[in-house]
Amino acid sequence: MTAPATLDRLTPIFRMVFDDDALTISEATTAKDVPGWDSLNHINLIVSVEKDFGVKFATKEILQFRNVGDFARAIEAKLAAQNRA
Amino acid sequence: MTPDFFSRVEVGQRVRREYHVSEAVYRGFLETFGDRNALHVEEAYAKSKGYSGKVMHGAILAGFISEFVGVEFPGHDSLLQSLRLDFKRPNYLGDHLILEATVEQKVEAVRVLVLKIDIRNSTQGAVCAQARVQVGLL
Repeated sequence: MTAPATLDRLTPIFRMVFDDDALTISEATTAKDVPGWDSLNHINLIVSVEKDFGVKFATKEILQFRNVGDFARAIEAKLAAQNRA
Repeated sequence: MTPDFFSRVEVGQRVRREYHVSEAVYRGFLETFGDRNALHVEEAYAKSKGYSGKVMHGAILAGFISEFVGVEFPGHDSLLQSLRLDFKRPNYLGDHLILEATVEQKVEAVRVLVLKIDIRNSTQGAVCAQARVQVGLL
């Protein structure tokens, strides 16, 4: 389960990257659900999320995300690890 | 560029390159794209509007940035993914420019660099443009 706050924080990033002010996302959202989620916008999404949340991903890691929920949980795990350090 | 170029890039790293707004650059841009707005081609008109001479096309700077990214840094195996360019002051024919890029973000997962670019007009002694580019490494 993802904290609602994480999805709330991800939403404006998704809206900016995909240029859609009305875009809504949920844990179940996948690339197929979002018009314009191509390889370049996928890169843009990772770049924006790393900057906004102050986290770093590994190439292998992002290949394993099945949906936005996986993405959000990975962000939360990294933030929790930062707080413990 | 060596295979491990990307791994050696560091956030905060700076790279500079000089450019010249030469007659050849101006003419080449004018002939290629055809923007013959009076500000760009009529000296008297430009002066009547308060400029020192014919105002060089701002998009010439985009060309310099393209050359910088594609040839200088990162250079080979790079692809410009986005460019935001803000103009601060006009440039004139013959001006010399210094482009300085600072690595602002390095995203290893997708092999991307985000560069903050300041372009200083050394002839006029002022920053003429600022840009932010996103570059992918193939």
